[in-house]
Amino acid sequence: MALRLIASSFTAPGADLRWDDDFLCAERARLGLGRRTDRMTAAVLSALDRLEGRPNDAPLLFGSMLGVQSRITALQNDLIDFPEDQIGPVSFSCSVHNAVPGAATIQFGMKVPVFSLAGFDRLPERVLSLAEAVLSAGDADHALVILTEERSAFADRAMRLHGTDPMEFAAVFLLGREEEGGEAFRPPPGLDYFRWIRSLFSI
Amino acid sequence: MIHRMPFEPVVTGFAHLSCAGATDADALALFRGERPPDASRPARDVIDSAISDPVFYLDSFQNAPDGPRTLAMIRAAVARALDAAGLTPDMLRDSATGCVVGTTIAQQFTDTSYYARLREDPGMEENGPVEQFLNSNPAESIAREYNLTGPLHTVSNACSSGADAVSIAALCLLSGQCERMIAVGADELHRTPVAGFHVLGVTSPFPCRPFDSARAGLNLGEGAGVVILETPDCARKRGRAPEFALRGFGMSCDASHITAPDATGGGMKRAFRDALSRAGLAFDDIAFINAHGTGTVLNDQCEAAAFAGLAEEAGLAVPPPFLSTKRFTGHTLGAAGTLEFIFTMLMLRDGFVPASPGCKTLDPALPCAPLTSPLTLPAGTRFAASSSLAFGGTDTVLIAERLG
Repeated sequence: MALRLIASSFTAPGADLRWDDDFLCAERARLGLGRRTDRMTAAVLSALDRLEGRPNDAPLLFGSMLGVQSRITALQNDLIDFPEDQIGPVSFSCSVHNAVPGAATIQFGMKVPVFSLAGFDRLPERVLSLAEAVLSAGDADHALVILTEERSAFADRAMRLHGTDPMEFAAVFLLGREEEGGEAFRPPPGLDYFRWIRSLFSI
Repeated sequence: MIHRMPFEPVVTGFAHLSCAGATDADALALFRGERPPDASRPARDVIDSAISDPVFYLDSFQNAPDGPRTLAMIRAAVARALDAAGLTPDMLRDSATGCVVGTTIAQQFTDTSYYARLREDPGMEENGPVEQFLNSNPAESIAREYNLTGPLHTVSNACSSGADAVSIAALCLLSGQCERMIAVGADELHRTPVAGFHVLGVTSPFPCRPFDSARAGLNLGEGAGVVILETPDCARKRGRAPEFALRGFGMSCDASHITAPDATGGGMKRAFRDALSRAGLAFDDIAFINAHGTGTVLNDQCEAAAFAGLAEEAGLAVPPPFLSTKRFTGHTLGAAGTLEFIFTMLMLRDGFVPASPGCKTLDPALPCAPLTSPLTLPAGTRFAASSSLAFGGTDTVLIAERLG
């Protein structure tokens, strides 16, 4: 079964592909998010909110190589700075890999299966392959796919070692089955994750 | 609308490493009360342990170890499960075999000392730990080791990751993407989650007591579980007669809170209904439920409400018997869902389900009670379920079938 792209949405304001703080601040206010909502969560919720025709009953597939870096870094800083004391509770619970899609389900009331995937080799292909499997099982008409990365000192280093200039983005795709029409959707084999994202959104 | 699956993925082998032991006999002896829980240790015969003692009943987060060793547990458990399934590396290389690993720690860079050095000197040249991290994704590592060509996924859905790995493996088989999947759940005891759960105030200073009125929270543990799932045709072609199948699975989420499960059990009920629909079964077909049962108040409320609610919907006075095996293993996070699915199959095979360990005085606030005395299953008992909850509000239910 071939996947079809129904709609997509993207946030990566700023010429250097770093989320712009003013933009995220405005999105936090627009979406009624707490002021402490982290950057990746705010960007993903913004992209989801802007997705045309977003259904609330579509399984949610989240893919990120490096996860929610601001929270992970905060947690590590906590462990470094206060080895003798307890860490902050929010930095742990919001640093887990599925915290961002969890926040999305809460924000939009999506009571759906959630798949939070991580990996370094061909991550977009793997996420879309699972979306295909989910739709093939016939339990849902659509699947929502989120691909997102956030910069940090560690992430910049990891991205460079992965062969790309550091960038941060939240890309959301609403996918359907072949019979629904729409554009066929599959990353070209062997295409680099970051280059593919840049090409998709004409960055 | 969830429909009955066109076929049930069969289980041709499994393996488990945890405080409950590293062999089926060890685990069953523990379940039967034939050896005390404190005689067990984290599979030291297999894992080259960096931990001198299992920090099972931690009284201080400062005592927690700093990994990594999850990948070592995964590799050991995968080798054992493949052996149990009668599969050699050559057979894997020559067929469409995939791998899905559920984990929390192993997919995140948690080297605190490296973070400290990087913070001190952002321009430092040391990249070794980052390169190692980029090469150590669990599913990708197993694929390299066995030359796998099928689907590869590392899923990190917090504490339901292991159960979700089994569900994803089934989806890959059902969609025709491959004919065999290695489903893994694994996590090590690591200072990051230990510190995190400690500060949330949900860790118990004594062995956990799920569903008991004197509960004080959870114990963290570690381990790995591996289930080899195949299409029935694939197993038949190589002359295997599987003892178990994954009869159904269901996934949902609460959409209510990032850490606290929905106390009404709404998400768990949806996951259970979906699993039963996929299985073509009714709630009263389930002989027993191996609950997530961490030993926290909110977990107990959520699961008891879900089981009682499902019983009411089905016109039953009480839900099927349920228990938690967390007291035997600690909460193994990403490993829990896979380990507990395996334990469910072992209990179906053994025909014996222990009383929910640690539950002495029932919590009167719960709408239903776990098993308070051991259950001997009638001959021919076929179906049992295993449930999982997680941060992020995830709920997953797996239904095991013992084949005739």
